[in-house]
Amino acid sequence: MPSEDPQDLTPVQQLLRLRRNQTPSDEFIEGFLSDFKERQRSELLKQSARGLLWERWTTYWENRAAPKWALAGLAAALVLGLGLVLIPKAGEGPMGDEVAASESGLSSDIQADPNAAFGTEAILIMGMDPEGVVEESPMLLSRHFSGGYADDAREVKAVVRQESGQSEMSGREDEP
Amino acid sequence: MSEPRANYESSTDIELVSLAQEGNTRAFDELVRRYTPKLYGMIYNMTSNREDTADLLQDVFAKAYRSLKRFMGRSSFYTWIYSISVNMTLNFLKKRGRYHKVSLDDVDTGIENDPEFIKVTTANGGTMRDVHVHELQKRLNEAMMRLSEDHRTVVTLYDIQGLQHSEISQILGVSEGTVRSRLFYAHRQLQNYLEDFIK
Repeated sequence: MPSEDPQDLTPVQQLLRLRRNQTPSDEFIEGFLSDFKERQRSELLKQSARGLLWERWTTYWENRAAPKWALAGLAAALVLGLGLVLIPKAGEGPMGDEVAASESGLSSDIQADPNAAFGTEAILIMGMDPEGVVEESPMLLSRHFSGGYADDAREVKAVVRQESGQSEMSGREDEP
Repeated sequence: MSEPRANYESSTDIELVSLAQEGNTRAFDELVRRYTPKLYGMIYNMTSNREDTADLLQDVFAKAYRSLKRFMGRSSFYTWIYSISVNMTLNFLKKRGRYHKVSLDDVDTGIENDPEFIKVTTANGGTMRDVHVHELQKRLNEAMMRLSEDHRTVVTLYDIQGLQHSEISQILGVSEGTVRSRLFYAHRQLQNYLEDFIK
């Protein structure tokens, strides 16, 4: 406590010290307490449903041993889960398609519509006659050494008889 | 149904706080009874208005009650509740504006019969006794309200509430040196404001 001897105090301090005696009466205190309780009750009634829910939620976590760590863990799990769901896998997005297509060297039509490749292939496979004849012209080794075949491409003609019966495909292959 | 108040009168603050934290509202009531006189004096000397003081004190206890579960006991309840009161009062004063007209209604009556007042006033050669008590109280109120809020706070806590420098330092969150310095300047300013009355 500050010095209690009035002789040690300045007149100002002595005057100020008189104010210590200005304390409320017991009646005031009991009335004040009664008002305080009434106010608490009315505040409780005024509180919104959302406010009550929030208070219950915070009180619940306050009573837990390590609420901060639990909340942090929950938040981290949520972020991770959202990340896995929302972030597209490599090659699935628009950029991924372009990269995959360019790497495989597909034509622009197929790049534009990848299903077209599957469609064409399916048509070809389904239309191919297992009995179809693949004609190969005989190749003579002697002719090769005598200068033949050097500039002539070896032609392989494959005739595919489709169900429509008119489709024909021819191709050139390098000689193995 | 109700526990007698006497059960709690002998309890320490920390025991009451502990009970109140477990949901015992009567324990908190006892804390309100115990601290109302001190906090009322502190807030009244800061605001110089009885209605504001009563309203603010209600707010202080309401806030303390809401925050009680977060009170970990690192400081005493005494320091904790004083900190809440000082902060809320300073916020209130900032909102209200620095200059507040002090009315005569704020001046206490009956102090002229206080034995301590008589002792103090006669000890100075009767100079102060000659002055009308109401006038002196009014001037003191005005002088207090002319102090900055920081200065008024330390004067209130030290001279009127009787707190130690270290306690004030803890409540305000400043060093003891700062408390002493503020006190020195506040006393000097008060002396200047009241020099016509105190010689």
